[in-house]
Formats: sequence, structure tokens, C-alpha cells
Amino acid sequence: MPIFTKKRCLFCELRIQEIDYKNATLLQRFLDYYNRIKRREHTGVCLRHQKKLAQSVKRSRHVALCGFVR
Amino acid sequence: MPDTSVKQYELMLLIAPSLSEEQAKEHILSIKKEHIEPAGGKVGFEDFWGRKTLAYPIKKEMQAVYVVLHLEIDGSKLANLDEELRLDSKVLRHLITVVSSKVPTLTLEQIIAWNNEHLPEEQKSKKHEEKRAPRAAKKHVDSRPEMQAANKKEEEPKKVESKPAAKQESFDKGRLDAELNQMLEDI
Repeated sequence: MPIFTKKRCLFCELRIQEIDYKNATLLQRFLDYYNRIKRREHTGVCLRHQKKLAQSVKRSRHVALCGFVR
Repeated sequence: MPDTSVKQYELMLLIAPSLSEEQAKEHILSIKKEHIEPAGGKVGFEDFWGRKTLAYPIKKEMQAVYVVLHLEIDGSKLANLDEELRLDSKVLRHLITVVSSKVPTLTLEQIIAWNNEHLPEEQKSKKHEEKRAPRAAKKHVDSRPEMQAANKKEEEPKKVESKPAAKQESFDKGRLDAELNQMLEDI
């Protein structure tokens, strides 16, 4: 179930400015079972960080730290 | 339009697993000598990750030796380096990104340490999310006893029905025996 009520952006809380594509374990939290990027309504990530997250997930996929599909 | 300013770039290399880690290091040295230094580039930060399993096969390989380098290089010469690395058969894949000057880049060990420090917090935040789940779970719990009670109600009458039936049968048997005895006596 998506969480619509209380939004808590993890990256804002931890004050992460740049999301590192090398940190696959962190990125994995924002991917679903099929390695698709979760909607931000689902994870509570703010728009600014969602855009950065998407970019770093794509980089991470390119260097095979994350998968494209499962 | 090529970027002519000198910037910090991060280069990640995936080197073929056919090379050992030492051979991979030698190969990196040769890349530096042949492609980076002639272009006036400097290598600053260097992190050797070692052999890692890939998330999906690249060029039919399931493993690669990961290396992260920071280059201080003229942006216009980056395209050439990119092409050279692409043609290098010993480099499975590479990625060049611009390094943010705001945030210090972490080595793999630092990333793992950071994760260990912050992952419990993330789990806590997940627990916060799960706080909402018990409500739904409670509903299930509420509905379950009802269902169970309903099931029990359904089951109990059957038992009640079956027990008298058994009694009736036993009674019947007693009556039948008595009747038979009477019949025998009559004869």
C-alpha cells in the first residue's frame, strides 16, 4: 500500500545532497522486486531527491550494481 | 559542445575477470600512462574495489574488477578517453561522471560503514511506516475471530447434531435388543 499520509524524505532527513550511484544497498531500498524505481508516493521521497535518485539508479544499473530487470 | 574547463571527473572501470586483481592494477597503470597522462590529466582519489559479482552479465561475464578513479582533466579530451576505453577489450564497461565539489566522495569501505551506521535508522523509519500496518492487521485480527467464531458456530451444531444421533442409535440398539429378546421369549 502506498503511503499518502505522512511524507518523510529519507534523503532530506539524512541531509544527503548528492545520491551516490555506488551505494547499491541504499538504492535497492527504492527499487521494487522487479528492480523498477518505486513511486515517490510509495517511498515518501521529495521531488528534488526523486530526480537525483532516478539519475543515480540509472548510473548504478549501467555499471551492473543494480539490475535492470528481474 | 565539448567542455573545455578542467573539472573533477569520476571514472568507474569494470575490468574483465580474466585478469587477476594484480593484472587489473597493471592494466589501470597502463591506461593512466597511455590515455590520461598524455591528455594532461591527473589522477587524484583512487579506490580499488576488487572482484565483484555483476547484477547481470556483461559481455558474457558474471564478475568484474571494479575500480574508481578521480581525474582532473580537460573536458574536451574526455571524449577521446571515453572512446579509447570503449574500444579496450579488457574494460567491460566504464562510467564517467562529474564529481560534485560539495560532497566528498566515499570509498567502498566508507560507504559500507555509512550504511551500517544509517541502515538501522532506515529500519526505524520503516517501523514508523509499519505503525500504520497494525491498524490494517488489527482489522484482520478483528475479522478473524469473528470468522473463527462463525466457523466454530458452524462446527458446534454439527457436533451437537451428531451426538444425539449416536445416542439415538445406541437407544435404538437397546430397544432392538429388548424387542428381539421379547420375540425369542414369545417363541
